Amino acid sequence: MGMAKIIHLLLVTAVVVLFLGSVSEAQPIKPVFTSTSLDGQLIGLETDLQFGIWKPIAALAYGLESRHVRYKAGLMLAMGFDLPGLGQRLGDFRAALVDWPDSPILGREGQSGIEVGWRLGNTQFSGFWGTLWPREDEAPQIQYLSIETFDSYPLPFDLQLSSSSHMIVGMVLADEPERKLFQSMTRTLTLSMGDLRLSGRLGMLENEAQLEGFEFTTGVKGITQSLKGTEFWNVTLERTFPMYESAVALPVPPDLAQFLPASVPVGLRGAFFVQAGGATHKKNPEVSNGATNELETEMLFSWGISATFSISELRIQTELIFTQDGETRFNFGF
Amino acid sequence: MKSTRTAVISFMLVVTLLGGLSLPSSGQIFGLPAFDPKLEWQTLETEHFRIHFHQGLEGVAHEAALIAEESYQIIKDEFGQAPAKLDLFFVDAFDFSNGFSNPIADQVGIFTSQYRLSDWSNMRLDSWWRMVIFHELVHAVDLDQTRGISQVLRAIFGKIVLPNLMKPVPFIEGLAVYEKYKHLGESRLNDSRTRMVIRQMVLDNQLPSFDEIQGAYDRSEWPSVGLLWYNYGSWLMRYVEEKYGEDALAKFDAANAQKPLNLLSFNGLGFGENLDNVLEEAVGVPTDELYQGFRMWLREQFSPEIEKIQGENLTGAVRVSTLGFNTAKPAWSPDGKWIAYRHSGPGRAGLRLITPQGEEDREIVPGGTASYPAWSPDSKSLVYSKLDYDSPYYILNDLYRYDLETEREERLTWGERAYYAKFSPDGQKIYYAKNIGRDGSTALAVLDLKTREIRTIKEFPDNTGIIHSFALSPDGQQIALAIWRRGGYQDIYLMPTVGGELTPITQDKNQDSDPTWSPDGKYILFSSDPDRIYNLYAYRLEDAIRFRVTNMLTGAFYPTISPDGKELAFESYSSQGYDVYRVSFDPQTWKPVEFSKETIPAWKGYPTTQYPIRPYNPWPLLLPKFWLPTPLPGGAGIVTAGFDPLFRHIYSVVAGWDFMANVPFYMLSYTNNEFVPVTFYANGEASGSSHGLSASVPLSLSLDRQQWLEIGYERSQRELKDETERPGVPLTLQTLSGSYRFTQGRQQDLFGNLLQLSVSGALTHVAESNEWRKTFVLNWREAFRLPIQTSQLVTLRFVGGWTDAKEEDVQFKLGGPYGQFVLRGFEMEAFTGKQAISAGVQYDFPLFSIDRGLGRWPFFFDDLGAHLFVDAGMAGDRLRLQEVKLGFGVELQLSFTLGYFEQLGLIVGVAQGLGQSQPVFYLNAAIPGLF
Repeated sequence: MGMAKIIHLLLVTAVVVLFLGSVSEAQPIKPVFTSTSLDGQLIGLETDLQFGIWKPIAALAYGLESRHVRYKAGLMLAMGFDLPGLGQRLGDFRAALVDWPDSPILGREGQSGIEVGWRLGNTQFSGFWGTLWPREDEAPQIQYLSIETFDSYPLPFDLQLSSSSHMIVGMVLADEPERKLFQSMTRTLTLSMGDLRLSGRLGMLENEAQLEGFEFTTGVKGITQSLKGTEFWNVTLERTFPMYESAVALPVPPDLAQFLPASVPVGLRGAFFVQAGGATHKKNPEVSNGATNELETEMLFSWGISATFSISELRIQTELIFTQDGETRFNFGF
Repeated sequence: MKSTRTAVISFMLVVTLLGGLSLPSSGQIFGLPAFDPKLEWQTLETEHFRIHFHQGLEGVAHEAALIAEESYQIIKDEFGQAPAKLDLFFVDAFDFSNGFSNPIADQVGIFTSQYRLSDWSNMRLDSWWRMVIFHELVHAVDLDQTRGISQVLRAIFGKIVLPNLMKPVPFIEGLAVYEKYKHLGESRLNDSRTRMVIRQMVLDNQLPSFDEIQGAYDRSEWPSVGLLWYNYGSWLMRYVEEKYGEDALAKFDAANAQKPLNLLSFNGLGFGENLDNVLEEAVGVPTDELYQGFRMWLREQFSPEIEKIQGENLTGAVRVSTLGFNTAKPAWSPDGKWIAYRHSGPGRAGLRLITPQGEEDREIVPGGTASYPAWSPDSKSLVYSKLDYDSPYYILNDLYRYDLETEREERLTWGERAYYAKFSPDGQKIYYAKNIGRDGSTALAVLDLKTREIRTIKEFPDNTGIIHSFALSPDGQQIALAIWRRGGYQDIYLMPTVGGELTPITQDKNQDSDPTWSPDGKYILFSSDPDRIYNLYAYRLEDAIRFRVTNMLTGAFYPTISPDGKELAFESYSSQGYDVYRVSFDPQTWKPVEFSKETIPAWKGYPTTQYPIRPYNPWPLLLPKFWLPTPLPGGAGIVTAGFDPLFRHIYSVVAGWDFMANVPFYMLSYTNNEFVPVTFYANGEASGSSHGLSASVPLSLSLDRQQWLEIGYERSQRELKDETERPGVPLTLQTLSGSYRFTQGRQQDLFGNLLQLSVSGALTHVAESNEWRKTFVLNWREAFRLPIQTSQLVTLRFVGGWTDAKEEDVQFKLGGPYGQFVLRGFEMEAFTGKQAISAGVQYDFPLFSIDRGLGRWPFFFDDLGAHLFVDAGMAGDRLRLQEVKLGFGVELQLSFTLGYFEQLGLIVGVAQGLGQSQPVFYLNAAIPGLF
């Protein structure tokens, strides 16, 4: 079967699945409403259905400026079973054809091509073969392998350690010897005890392929400047505390009592936070390969307090932030 | 900004006023921001007393007047001197019983709640009022004693001269308990629980050393220092008088009162006289000789009792729990799988579960005030009472239910003052005893769990009966109640569940407590103390025969029977404290006994007297209590203070003349506590003056979480330092400030977590430049007590400061081991800036307990601990992470008791700052009693 047929088949599947989703009230359909530099405003629908072990993946969106149709069409086989003696699920294979504003490659908005995935326990393996949405004159053809892991460990004294990492090893497709690697690794560690949380992130990358925009970006609250580099770190200490907790009783008519909650939780939580981050980059990016190029590290720091008022899922947050330069910022948001 | 002079004066005020038992700290009254403003106070005046009371307590005031005058005469005759007039106040704001005496003001305060007093006190006395009034009056008279030079100094300086505050605590608290026994015949001295504790000490030959009983310290062993001071100490006092004559203690007081070193201790804080010198003068022997004689005498007193108990068949009970200390109130689950109980001991307190075999012991409800767990019939939940704030002005009991499946606690009542509860056999209702009225009267009520309707079953108004405990019969038709009645009779009664007449089962002065029914409904078991030894007894309903169920060497309390009726669990005692024990439930082995039947004198209600009653007027009571000279470099002045008996108005005055500048200086402060603490102050000295006001408003109060808002205004004037620029121009500042404080304590078994967070901001207007300055400070400190038996703490802290003030002297200073922005390993105030950050982590761990006095001087070495720490900080107009300063080091902390009450800590530390050429050595004071 040729590639064009595969594409047609998957597109038809996506349309059918979207139709099924729209007629079935039990299945979720999510609206797509986002904007990209290529398409302007994107409007569409995305759904995620399951029929036994079959789990079609489908999404369609239309770019109002580009007049381009974006899609995601594929299939997941949720046929996980336990490995004897190991107890881990083996399964959830996924394959999809995508042209969608989403990419794990740093600095990239989206990708078009074939995605395959395999989830083993807390680890997600993904492979991609296709094209990155262009930032340059020509869109780069790439292939990559992505490995994401997440783990959580209960520790003594009510401590909880959670760890996640994301590694990408990729290659720009070109004739030998032009093929060059790009790779990145980020790791997040969060140590928490109740409402006290210490979180650290760090990452490093190599961009032998000279992919444009393939670099880390980091920053801290209250400082608009962001740092870019081939290495980064970010540490956040946050302590939240309950200032007010209550439940407001709702005058629910008896006929609706089984559908509506009897009360709505209302709360006010305070917090203080300290945030620091840094990034390392080459002092002079123009220096060509082989020549020495000093690395330069920049760091940012801020601290502050916040108060979050919540009614059920609705949250209103205010923040007062003090930056390293002696400036104060007041943020307000939902 | 405080000058050195102001700092010295402030320190003197703190030492003078807060050193002993005088003023409430932080503007709070026993944890309340004020007494309820709705309380309408009146005063009944007798020859020697002004008795202040609020609505609902007029009868109590009349009775108290008679008791107080009667007691006054007895105690004055005993000690030879007594204050001419004392202020007694009665307040109903707390669901726990207490009283205090404040000798600096001749003030006695009494809380009126009085349920379950026999758990820790001797309730054979005719009333709680007599018990507590006599006790506190002994303190008021004893601590007021002056002789010789102290009499002269008292005449000059007033009530700051209190030499008898510098006595070993048993000579204060043990004395009050002993005097009650001596003159009233009953007190904790001859209470069955005290006899049990000392009997066990004698049996184990583990009588404490004198060092261990003399003062306040962190004691990790059983018995607690409280038991040693009051109960054990009262026997020491009894020995002193039996051995050295009936006036020996009065002689001791007189000798102690004229020792010059005791006079130099401000209000109990300081270094007093060597006890040997006082004792040798009073009774002719030094401490060790007296105490050795006491220990031998104690063995002689208790050995016959021990032999008598051992002469009969001792009950062979199996110990179920192992935590000791105050392990109490066992309740066997209806499914037979668990025994719920309450425990409080070093480092942990709460409700726990354990299997009857003593396995799987675990905490389910943390908190020191949760008590009296009772099971639902399906064994899925427990009901219990717990103390907490009912409003900012009351700390009261209410009912809570814990669901074992969801592991969630539900509050069942609000403001009900319910202190003891049991499920009905069908699980649909909860019966409970509660406080009613202002005078500690009680009632039995029932809560319908479905409709949440509450119905009163039986009231005991006007102190006619205090419900101690109760139990419902298995068929739910009858209730067995333990009720304390006037005259000192705590007996078991039967009553229909719907209410009605009480039928007595016992009628004597034994303290009969905690009835429970056998599952077949044939027996009621309870604890009682004939011959002053607590054991379990049974009453067979079909023939009214009484049996002794146990013969414990120590005691037996709080019976609970397994659902199959084959075993019996109860609270008993060993040298580790109380624990849950278990024996077979076998009526065949019980010994029939006779209980005497006494006639309970009829309580005719509160008496009325001819003493006049008028509305409470605080103003005439505000005269200064004392004055002292303030010897300051280059100046001289006086310090004085006063407050009314209800703490509505508190003031302090420091005033004098600065001879170097030839100007007066003053520090005036007045706090009004009628709604929330509001303080007005005015300070002035050569370099400037300030005046303002501040108010503390509680946003939310609970025993484990508090939020306070403090707001203030200040206007100050001072001379500019840089006189070349603007010579002689004063800097006039007006500051509006606000501060929010959040404190939260959390415990889970041995683990503890204390969060202290404050956010404060100030807006200051500089009149001369018409500029506004803004300042903001965040302070976070969180300590985690590791769940290890010996207390170990990890403390995290962060302080952040921001200001737009240009003047360096009001900017933030970072560096050194003291102050707000600590950075150990660097010099004091090494860095300055508009911004400052100070953060750190510290690990505290104990090295060893010293627990030894310094000879017989009033100084006690408690514990030696160590701290390891890492500090980080930066300060400047702009902060750069690259410029973070780091310091690390180690500290040794010696905890000690100065005098007999003040627990203090001294820290010796060495810290190395990274990049610094040499380490910094320093001394610091420690904060005692974090947990």
